[in-house]
Amino acid sequence: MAHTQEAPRRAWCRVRDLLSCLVHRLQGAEPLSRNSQSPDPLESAMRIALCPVVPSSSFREALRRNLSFAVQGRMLGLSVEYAKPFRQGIILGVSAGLLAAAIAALVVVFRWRLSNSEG
Amino acid sequence: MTEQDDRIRIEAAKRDPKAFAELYELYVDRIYNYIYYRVSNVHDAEDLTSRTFYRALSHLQTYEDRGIPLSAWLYRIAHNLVANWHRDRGRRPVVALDELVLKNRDSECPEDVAESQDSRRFLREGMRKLDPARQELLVLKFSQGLSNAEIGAIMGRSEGAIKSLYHRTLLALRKELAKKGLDIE
Repeated sequence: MAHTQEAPRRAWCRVRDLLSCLVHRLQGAEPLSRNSQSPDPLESAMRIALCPVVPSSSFREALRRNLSFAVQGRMLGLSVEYAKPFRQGIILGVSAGLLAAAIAALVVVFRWRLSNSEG
Repeated sequence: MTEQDDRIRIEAAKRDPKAFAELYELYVDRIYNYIYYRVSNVHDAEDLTSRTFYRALSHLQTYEDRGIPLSAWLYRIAHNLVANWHRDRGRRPVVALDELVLKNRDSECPEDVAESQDSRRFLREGMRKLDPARQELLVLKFSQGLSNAEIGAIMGRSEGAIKSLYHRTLLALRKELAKKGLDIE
């Protein structure tokens, strides 16, 4: 119980530490709220929590290339549709199905040969 | 970027594939960033970002300037896709963002290397308890750094309505954080 109460307190201490750093960084930057000169601690904390992230360069480049093909296709009168990439689960499922079918086919062939040789 | 610039870019993109590539370069980071914080995982963020631009491309010919900036139009497409994503999943995102953010080496946030992610996790968890419109407002405000007027254009509300919603959102967020023992004053 004491542990569960300690965790939020510890987290808040870290928020305060981050905020004190942020206040210095925000000096000279546009205030978050037009009405206040000093940033609201919650607003500052949210800005840290939702700091900008950017897509990976590989994704960015792949999408740019795919869109370029799509635009060229569009110029030729083709329709533009997004092909959702196969998920790993689907690929695994299909692979497992194919493997099972192959094993079943082998068993049938083996049994058929066996019955022929006995006959 | 002015509305005039937007109009020029759209008209150019309708005729020239390279011009669409310029639009993509201009907005891909912002759209990805917005989607990422709305779905909480990289895989779906990439998928929905792709869908957003494909949809924009397919609707480019029918795009008309109705007084909303191009960026707001793209955000609305992304918003609709995210809403569908949540509806299809029938759940709100529960995946911890922290690890994913740390894995993103391109992140510009220096706090990513801070010794603890706990504080951000608490704040994000508090945010996720809010209704979707409030979550969206927070993401647009803090992650995207947009003004109330810009957010209003995206969410289809007036600037005053956004300002009011923002104050209510902060109050609700404080309440959520207080439940977790965080009293931010």
